[in-house]
Amino acid sequence: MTDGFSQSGTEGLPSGYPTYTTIRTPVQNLTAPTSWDYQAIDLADRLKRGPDNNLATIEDNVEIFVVGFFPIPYNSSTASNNWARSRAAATGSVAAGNHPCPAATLPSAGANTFSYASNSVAPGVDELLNTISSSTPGSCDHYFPIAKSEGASLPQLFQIMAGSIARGRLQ
Amino acid sequence: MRRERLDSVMRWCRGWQALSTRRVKGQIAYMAVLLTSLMGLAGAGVDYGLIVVESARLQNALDAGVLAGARALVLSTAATQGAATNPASGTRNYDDEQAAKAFLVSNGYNVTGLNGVTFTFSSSASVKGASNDTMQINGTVVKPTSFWKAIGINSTTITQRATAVSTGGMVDVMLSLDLTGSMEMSGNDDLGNLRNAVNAFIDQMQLSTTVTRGTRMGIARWAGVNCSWWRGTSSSPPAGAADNDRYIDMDKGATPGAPARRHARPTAATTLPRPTGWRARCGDHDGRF
Repeated sequence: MTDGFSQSGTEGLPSGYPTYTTIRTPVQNLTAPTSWDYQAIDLADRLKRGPDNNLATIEDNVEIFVVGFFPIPYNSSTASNNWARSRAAATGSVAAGNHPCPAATLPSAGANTFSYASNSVAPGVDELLNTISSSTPGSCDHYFPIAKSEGASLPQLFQIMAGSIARGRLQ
Repeated sequence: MRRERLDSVMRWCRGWQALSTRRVKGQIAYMAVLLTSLMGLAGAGVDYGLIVVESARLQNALDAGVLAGARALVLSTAATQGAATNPASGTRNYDDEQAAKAFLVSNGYNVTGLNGVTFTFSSSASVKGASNDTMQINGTVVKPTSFWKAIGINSTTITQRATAVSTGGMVDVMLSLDLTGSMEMSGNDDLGNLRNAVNAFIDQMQLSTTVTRGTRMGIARWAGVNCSWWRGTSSSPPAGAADNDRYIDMDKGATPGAPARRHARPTAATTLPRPTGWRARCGDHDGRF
């Protein structure tokens, strides 16, 4: 559950704040705050693999659901305090059940309903959070965007998420 | 002397033959009654067996349907619950019924009320349910009989019921919550909504201290590199004191423990009005999570 952005920019960072070398290829050596996004992806990837660091042994794997909670309307400004960069949250509503995610198919870049790093203001926050989640490739089935203006629907969204985790039990 | 003995034997044989003939006739009558009874019992057994089989088949179908329905109930994105009977499309009751009906049909049952088969669906909130998370299906099948008709029983009504609740089962869940300042600054009581959502999630997962094989859950508060986990103050109490307010504490100082000043929650805005040189400390960390 996050709005996907760092609270602060580079100001106030301790001097000598370490750079980060990515685990996934291509290996990159990055400085903050860019490095934080890559670090989050690496950490999530490691978490998904479970204690044995093996994605194929699913018994111990961790499933990650991400709820993106964004201000709307979508704003393409590059200002560091612009956090309204989620097209997915700005499209549709939880009440109507028509946010583009979660879904079995990723919205196309041309639809402008999903913030890709390639066609949106960096970091392409929808793509970033969906990558962190356990969505199967080509889908956003583990990513739940929601606008802050529909925050009253947040409990409903969490219930839907719980429903996707839960299983029926006979009584 | 020999002839007399022979006559005596012949008389005995004729007597025995007559007696045997009477016995055979009696045995035939006895066997006829016995076979009729056995056939009747066998026929009754066949009907009873068919009823038992149908009853088990109905229960299996109901179990499958109610499990699917309970899951659809909590997965439904419909905002409204819908009428208890004949729910309209676009309601949660409608979604769970459709899911359940699909499984009833796949188990060979007509769900349109034909052929003496009827189902009634209902949903409710469990003790811990934040919303309706429990589904019940009652199924009735009128089963025609074959042999029982001989004694006036042309059919028998089989009634079964299944109930299922949606629960997390043996799943461990960790909620990682972003409580940084931006999560509160839209003016829409974002963290209040988040609290309600977490409560709904916990209820939906049916947490219980008595169910050892149930869901276990933890909550991690995520702050970020520049957040320090000490509480700000609303006016001028000592640094680190609890203020128990609903405001984001922002401070210019870089040292945790330095006096904090409150930054009033702004009105709705799409962007955070962050004064130059200021940075948000942790979000609402008054201990409510």
